[in-house]
Amino acid sequence: MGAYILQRLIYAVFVLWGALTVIFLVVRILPGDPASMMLGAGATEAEVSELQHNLGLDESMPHQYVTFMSEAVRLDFGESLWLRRPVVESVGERIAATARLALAAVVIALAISFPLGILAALRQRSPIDYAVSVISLIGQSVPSFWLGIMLILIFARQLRWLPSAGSQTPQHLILPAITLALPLVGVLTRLVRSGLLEVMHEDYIRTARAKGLSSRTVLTRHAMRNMLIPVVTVLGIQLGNLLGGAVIVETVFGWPGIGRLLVDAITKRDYPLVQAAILFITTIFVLINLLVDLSYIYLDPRIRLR
Amino acid sequence: MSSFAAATEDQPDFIPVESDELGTRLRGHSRKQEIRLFLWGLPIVIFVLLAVFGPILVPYDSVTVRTGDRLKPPGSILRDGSRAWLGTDQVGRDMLAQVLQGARISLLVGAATVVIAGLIGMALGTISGFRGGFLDSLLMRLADIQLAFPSILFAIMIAAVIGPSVFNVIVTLAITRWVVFSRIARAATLSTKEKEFVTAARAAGATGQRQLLRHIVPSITAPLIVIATVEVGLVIIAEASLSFLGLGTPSSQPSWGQTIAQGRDYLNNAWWISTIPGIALCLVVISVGVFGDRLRDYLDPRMNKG
Amino acid sequence: MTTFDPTPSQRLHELLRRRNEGVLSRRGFLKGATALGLSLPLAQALESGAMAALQDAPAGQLNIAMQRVLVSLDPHGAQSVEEPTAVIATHIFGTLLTRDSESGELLPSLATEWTADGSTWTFKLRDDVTWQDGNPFTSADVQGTLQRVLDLEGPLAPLWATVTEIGAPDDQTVTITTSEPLGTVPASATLLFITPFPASADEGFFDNPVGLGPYKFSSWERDSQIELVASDTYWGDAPAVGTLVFRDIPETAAKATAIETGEIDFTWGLPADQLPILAENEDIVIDGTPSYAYYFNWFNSSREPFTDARVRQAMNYAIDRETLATDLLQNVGIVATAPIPKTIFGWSEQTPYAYDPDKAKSLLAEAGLADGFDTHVIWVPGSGPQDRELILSFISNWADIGVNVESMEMEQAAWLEKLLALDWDMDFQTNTVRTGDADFTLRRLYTSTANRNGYANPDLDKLLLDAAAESDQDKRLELYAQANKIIWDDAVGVFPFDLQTNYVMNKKIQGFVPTPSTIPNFATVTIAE
Repeated sequence: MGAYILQRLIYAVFVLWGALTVIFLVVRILPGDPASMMLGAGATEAEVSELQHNLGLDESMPHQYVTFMSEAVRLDFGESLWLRRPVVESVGERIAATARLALAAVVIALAISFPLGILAALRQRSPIDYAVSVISLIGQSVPSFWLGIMLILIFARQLRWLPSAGSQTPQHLILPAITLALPLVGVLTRLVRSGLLEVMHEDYIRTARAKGLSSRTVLTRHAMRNMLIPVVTVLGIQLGNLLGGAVIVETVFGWPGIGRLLVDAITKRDYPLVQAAILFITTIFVLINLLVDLSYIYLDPRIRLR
Repeated sequence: MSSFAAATEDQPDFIPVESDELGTRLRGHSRKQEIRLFLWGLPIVIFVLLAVFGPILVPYDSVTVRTGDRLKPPGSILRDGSRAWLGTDQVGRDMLAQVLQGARISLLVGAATVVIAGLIGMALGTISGFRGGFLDSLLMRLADIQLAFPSILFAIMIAAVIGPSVFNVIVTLAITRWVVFSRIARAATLSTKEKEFVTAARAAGATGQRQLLRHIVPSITAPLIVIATVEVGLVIIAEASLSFLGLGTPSSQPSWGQTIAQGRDYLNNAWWISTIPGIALCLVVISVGVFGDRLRDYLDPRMNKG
Repeated sequence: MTTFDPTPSQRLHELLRRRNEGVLSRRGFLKGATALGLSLPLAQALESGAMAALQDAPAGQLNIAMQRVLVSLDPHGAQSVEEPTAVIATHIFGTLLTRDSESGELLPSLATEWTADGSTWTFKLRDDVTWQDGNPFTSADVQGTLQRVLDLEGPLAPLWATVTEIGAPDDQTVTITTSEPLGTVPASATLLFITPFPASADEGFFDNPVGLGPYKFSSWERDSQIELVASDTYWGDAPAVGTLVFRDIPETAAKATAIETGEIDFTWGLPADQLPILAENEDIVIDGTPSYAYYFNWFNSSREPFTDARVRQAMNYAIDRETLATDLLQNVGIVATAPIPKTIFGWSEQTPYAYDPDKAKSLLAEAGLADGFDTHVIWVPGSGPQDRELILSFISNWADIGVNVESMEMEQAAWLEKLLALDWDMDFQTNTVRTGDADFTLRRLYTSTANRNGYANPDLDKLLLDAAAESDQDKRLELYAQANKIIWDDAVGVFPFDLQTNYVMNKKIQGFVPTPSTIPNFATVTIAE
């Protein structure tokens, strides 16, 4: 078990290093450069190259890479070229906002998908099962920006129940969280259903049932734990999407999250900000998945035995 | 990260089975089961036919605009006496022609992306699972980096470097989608590798390559086909998201996603621009999803028992 | 040490204040007031009056959604010509001069007089102005501000590029000396937001800035909202609205919904097709005005076949401006009459390019291109109202004369790189003449040294440089009239439409004066019941 944990830790460090290196290269391959974006269309060539020098962008690539890596290791990410403030501050604020949104979405998704999935599995091949599978497919098949705008038009414009956009009050969280949750509901419902079905066919469950345990006990004691493995795994992976990919929902609802910050930073070629934002997203992703891996120790007895 | 539970990622409800080759799986079904599967696939066939022949019957003219006929609702008679069955868009182009052309682009993007991502993923996943050891670790960490990395950055990079085109959209999506296939392929390879007939072949002195080609590749094809079916739908949705961010197909070749995204500002006065391709997209994704489910049941003997 | 013994009246005031702030309960107030000798009915009347005043207080807030997201409060750096930064700066800071929204005339603001003597401009400053932190406003602040603009090398710096010396002979006088006479100094001064010197150099100053304007900074949550409150030290007429909240709502549907539901009271820059829907709403008023912004479609005159003026003219004759203005730009644009909008100092009317595809074809034939040619246009989606619709329509019009144009939608940074490198055939975009003076656009974009579109004409260069150096404004007008004619007749680009800005507001907003600069000013606005 100790070896398992150590291996996972080494993987995590490797993935972080890889992601950092890829970011470093990718932003520099992009056409356009931070200096001319900062100076705008009116700048002369001399002004641009002077600014490039001040920003250290005229150094050789290996030199820039070594500087970047040594600063990253010291958690020194510098100042945003475009916002003119320490990138850690900006990224921290935004990650918090996105985390609030993502968490609300996950809670909503779990609250909907578990009952639906279990219901569908217990009534396999019944009309209920088919209805659930169509509902979950619809959740996955609607482009989120279209859904978000429709929710605004219905709940804010027509019914006037909820605010349209912004992040000022708790009510502002509802529509974006639902928009973000819906595709997740689709994935999770299907997972819960098939996970439960699979487990129900396993010998030990049959044995448990044969022994006369009630369905409820079988479900909670035995099936649930096995079902959680795929759900936890997929949630771990989906969280990456939720953090970096919430940009669309954040834009539609004017939510001050990390996705929008990242896209703006890329658009402005703000290297330090892009680097730090992606490093943070990646780190959170890696940490969550590390936790997921470690949770298998609890969820899957086979690992404990290794 | 969670490589041991790899098969549970994204489309985790595929259950590895005892029967090994695609041929074996396809055989052993009654005529009735085959017809039923075909019926489930019928909606997809209809969409493909529409995509192939629709633009021939109702040609789409990407150049000519008729601003005097803009934003006409479905069924309107235009200035030249023709009827716009699905209305017109914001520059007066016929929506019917645009939706049919969009079917072609969207399905092309979906299919081509899945083929490319599938082939790359299958190759890397199979090699990874078959060789094991350092190569395996390296490839799977690469997959982790890819998963942890916000795909939006790649999308912007490719759009910025080579400009918007259908081809670039396919490349972008393929880069972000190969991981799913590689993980499934790897997991399937691992389980097949230990099967008796492969072990037997190895003992009989078959070279690595022959083993791969003869036994493993055919046996992992079935799960990959199921995943591929579902992925087509997800890719079409992902393309719509790129369009929202302005990174989709060019105006001259509008995908459904592109039309939905461009029409979203008109949802409160010309709902048809965004909604009609939206419904089409939704239907395709649901058809593909339902067919994927049936295909899995069909290929998986255990499910048939249940 | 003196002891302070409040009079009954002062005590009553104190009670009212505390009741108003909610520190004191109704019963507590009545008890205190009757203890001072007031009758109970009088005390009750006072209390309800005080509470009514309290209920008025929230009405003293305007919620505003800007066109784009606010990035920085620094009005001198990289964001200095960005609209959101300028809007906030207009309220927090202040400029030496302002422009009258209707006549376009320059008006005194922090400066009371301005005169030119050869290469030196002298500004006399007001002497009754203090910063929001209580320090006096002096010439050193102006000096420091201009020096900062030059040091930061932002987009404003080119306006002041020839400045050689900034003098402050006394606290109320500033002199600006340039290497050669510069007639645009007063116009440029309308964009020079004064910040305190040396405080503005401090780290973090622009996270919590101190200004001279009618409003002061209160709080800012990035990508969400910024709040300003009325300043009690403002030298001009005190603003009527207590709080301004500028919110960030990027998506059109959300913004249009928010103004309909009353979540926001004011916005601008909504797409043309949203305006008729909003106009039906009785609670909403739309106030439109011609702006400093306009569309152009440049030709790269250094590239075949656009090296030939006849080809460029043919492209102009191919476009059906009138129809497009009617069909696409209702309320947001009018057919342009010069290479700069009518609102700009230096505008002069040119002979229109009438829609004439036959003439266009014959011009192409004369140029040896009877069969047309293939070319492309670069543009950034979201650059202006109906931009996609317009470029699609242009392409359609050009196809009619046999010119096949590929639309190359680009991402901002990639577009900018191509644009500056002259690596394009045609470039379609909006442009805004920030200072309201022709020099800002014409000299910056059309001289052969700027070389922004491959067009080089020594006559034009001379006209533009002379106009910049001239401080007699009437003479400048004459020079720009000639420059406009060259740019227009030689068809350096298609100059199709001048844009109009539509300010969309709740009907409770009164006294708003539409500004052509798309920088609305709320200092004179009141809220009706």
